[in-house]
Amino acid sequence: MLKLGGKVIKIGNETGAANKILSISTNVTLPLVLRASKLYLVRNSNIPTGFAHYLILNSQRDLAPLIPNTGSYTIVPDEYSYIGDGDIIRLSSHRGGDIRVLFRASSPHNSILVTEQCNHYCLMCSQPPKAIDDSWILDEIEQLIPLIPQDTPEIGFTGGEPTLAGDRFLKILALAKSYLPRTTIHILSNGRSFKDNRFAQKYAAIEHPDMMVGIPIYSDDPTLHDYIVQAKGAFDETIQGIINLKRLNQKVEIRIVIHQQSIKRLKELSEFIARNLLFVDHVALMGLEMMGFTRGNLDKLWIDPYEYRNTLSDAVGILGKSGMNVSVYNHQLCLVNPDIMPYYRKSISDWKNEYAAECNGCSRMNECGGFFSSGIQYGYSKHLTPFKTE
Amino acid sequence: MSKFKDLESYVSAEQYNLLPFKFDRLNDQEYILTNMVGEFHIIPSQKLETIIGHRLTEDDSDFANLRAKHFIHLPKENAPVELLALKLRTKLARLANFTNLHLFVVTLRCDHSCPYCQVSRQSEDKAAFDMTEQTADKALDFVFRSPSPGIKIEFQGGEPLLNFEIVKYVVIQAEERNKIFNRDLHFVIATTLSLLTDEILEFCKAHKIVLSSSLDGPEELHNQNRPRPGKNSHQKFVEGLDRARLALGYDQVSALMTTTDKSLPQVKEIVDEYLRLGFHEIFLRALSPYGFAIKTKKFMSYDAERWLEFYKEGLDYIIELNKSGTRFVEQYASLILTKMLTPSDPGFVDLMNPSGAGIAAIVFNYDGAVYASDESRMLAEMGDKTFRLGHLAENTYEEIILSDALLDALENTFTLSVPMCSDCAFEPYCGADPVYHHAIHKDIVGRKPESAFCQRNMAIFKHLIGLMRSDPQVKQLFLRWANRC
Amino acid sequence: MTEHMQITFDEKSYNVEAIQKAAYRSLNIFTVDISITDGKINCLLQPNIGTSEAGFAHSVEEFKKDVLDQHLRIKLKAETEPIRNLILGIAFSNTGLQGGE
Repeated sequence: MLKLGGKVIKIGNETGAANKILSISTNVTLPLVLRASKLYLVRNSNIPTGFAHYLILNSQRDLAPLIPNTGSYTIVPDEYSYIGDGDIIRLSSHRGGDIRVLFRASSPHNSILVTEQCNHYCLMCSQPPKAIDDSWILDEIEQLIPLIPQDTPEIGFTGGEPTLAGDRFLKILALAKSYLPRTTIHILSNGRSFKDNRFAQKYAAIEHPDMMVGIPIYSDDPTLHDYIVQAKGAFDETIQGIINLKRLNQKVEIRIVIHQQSIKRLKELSEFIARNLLFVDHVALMGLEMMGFTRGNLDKLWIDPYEYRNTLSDAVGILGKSGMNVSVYNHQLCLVNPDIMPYYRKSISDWKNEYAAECNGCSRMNECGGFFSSGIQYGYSKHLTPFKTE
Repeated sequence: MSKFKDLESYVSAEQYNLLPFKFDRLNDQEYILTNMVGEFHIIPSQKLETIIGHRLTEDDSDFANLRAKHFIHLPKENAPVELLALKLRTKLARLANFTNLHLFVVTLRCDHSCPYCQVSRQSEDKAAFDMTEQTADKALDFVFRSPSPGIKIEFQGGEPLLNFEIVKYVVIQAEERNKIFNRDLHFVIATTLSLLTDEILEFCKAHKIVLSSSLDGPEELHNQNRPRPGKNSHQKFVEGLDRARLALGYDQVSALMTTTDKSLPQVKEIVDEYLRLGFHEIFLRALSPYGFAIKTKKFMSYDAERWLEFYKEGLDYIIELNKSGTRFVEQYASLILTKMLTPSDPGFVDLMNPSGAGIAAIVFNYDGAVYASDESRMLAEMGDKTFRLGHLAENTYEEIILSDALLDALENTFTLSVPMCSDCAFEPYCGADPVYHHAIHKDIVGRKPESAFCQRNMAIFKHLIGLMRSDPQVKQLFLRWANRC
Repeated sequence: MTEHMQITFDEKSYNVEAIQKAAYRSLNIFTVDISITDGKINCLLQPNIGTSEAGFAHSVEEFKKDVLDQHLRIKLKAETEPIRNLILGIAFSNTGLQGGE
């Protein structure tokens, strides 16, 4: 798992702003006029002049004196050796200095955290909420978006609950449409804010060419859904939000995390979706991530995917037969039935995935998504069975 | 210290309210409940009063299901009402499109003389029974008055190929006019395939016309049902089938069967014949009691019970075929299953409420008279003009569509307001059939306890539900069938 | 020839409309003459020509169950009438049915 942020080792010759968001360049021949706004990644003794700041890996700290014109620089641990051209970095000089990688140009899965505030408290939340004012994040995102390369295929907005940032969130979406007109946007939200039709209309008025909201529904039983997200009345408002969005022709995806609670009525949920929400654009069924609250609630959540493989097949079968677009994410190939294959996606974000020791020698490793690193660390199925080549 | 609340904290303290639903006894131990859009749930008999009496508790095994299927809801919830309204709009969406299917009876002449024929046929040389270009033009005026985005023109007869000149005329004229109207235009010719020529096939191919033919079963049965000079209807059909498939494409020829008393002991053989000739679906129909069928008492010779045995045997066989890997669909079941298991309506004219006659489909006779359905035309040939809506040369579009003959039939047979149907739990799956009830019972509503239409359909609904409950494989198969449309 | 049957319902506990509806459902086996005297609803059940004794007896039993069902139906319909109208109102509102969902 990649380290995305942490302390730096040393900051040198610093004279500029305490916080900066800069895009990385590794191009020694970058035109001089463009260098003033970029962060140069030092790799050898050939260091071009004129960059706003320089980044050096700890193992190459001896190159620091070679920076021309006493340009300011930051030395970072070698764990950041994955950083490359086009990545966007936040550097802070407070309290000894921090680095955070905000955007990775080489990754297909960039996700931007909008706020850590949330009106849910899901049993399996991988990003536990914080009830603090973090609106500074929105300022930062407004600086970040113009730096994102225009050929980026997709970006995601997550939280917490992004829509709690209200009109400022909509402003960010409009900014993304403006600076990145060909970039698909995927938003993770509980959808409740869209129950307010005026908010839904403002959202629709952005008229983004390719924007989708991913909204979780964990059961057809409102009581069970409300319990899983720990918010009374959640199901009712989420459904109303979805209806409003679809009335305005906005793209909606339904996301279902499968665990001990949601598996109880997974088949009924599929029938409910096929009967009531046939118009949504996609249904995603996902495996449990062992992060955040999940570990503390393991007794209520953990179930070996091998145990539920037939229920999963039933659910996917119902949705598939009704003509809906279905995907199964974050499951290991040997733990699902073969009838899932048309819907199986190798999907764990590339900065999170690993394989278990039991996987050694498996002939289908490259088709399989592997595990969340958290899964390797905190528990996984007892039924892992490597595939043998025929 | 846990910040997480347990499940009980999310249970509502308030009593539930009822949403609109109907119920009927499914068998001695159980009731079936259906909601406004045909979702169903089965409960043990004792529970019905408990549910209606607001005494069902949240920990009851049926509570969550009744709530999710919108039979009950909790106060302060908005989603159930919104979702039911949405689902209702979806089910009724076709109504706004109005008339899709337009049947052009281009001639009464035919080379066959089938005893059950729904057309009073004349012998081959009476040219007085052909549609003229004048009539065809007026009929096309009518067709394009329909707001439907999809328009299907089906040529019938007698044998339409005996007046192929008019078929060509209508197709070309329709396509010409469609340049302005821009509808999704489709053509079908209902033919026995016995009179195909290369010229006909070339024209069909050029205009993407689909052929709908008749296959009643294996050769002996088929020829008994469908006499023609030479006694070779089946052979002619097979030859025509091969030619048509080659020229037009394998899937461009479909087959419909008609059931007679001779068919009843042979359902497996009939299905096998369909399979043998490369078809993957069959419509196991009941016999319509019109035209020569009544005159020759052909339809009287069996009753609803015998036909049901035939149907069940056929359906069982087809299910077996599917289980052993052969894809084959029974279409009547498939249409009903769409209503039971999906949010849509298949738009099948014979099972619609309000009745499909006149609004989903309409018939232009060779002589310019306009009828609500093919059966309506048959009745007229027998002297009963109840469902003759008007005449293309004498009446305007409005006069025909707003005629009492049509509106009375639609209004008075609306299943949500007629006796027994309005309370019937199976009503969402059924339809009004005013023409049938008028023909047999002399009353467009009919007394449903006496109606073979009602008996037959109710038995099939219960049978399909029983099959799904007893066998999960069948449930999956039926779900696939239901989603074909 | 199958004998007719007389059933009496107390007017205070039973609804004539419910009994009529149940009678309608049975009309392919028997007809019912309904009259009310002294707070009692009298039902004279006469089997149709050609009905067997066993068939008639079975249908009488069904008729009695049907009467109870019809009472429940009347209660259910009355209670859900307002919300049914609400649902219909929403379903047919906006710009009409064109466009489906």
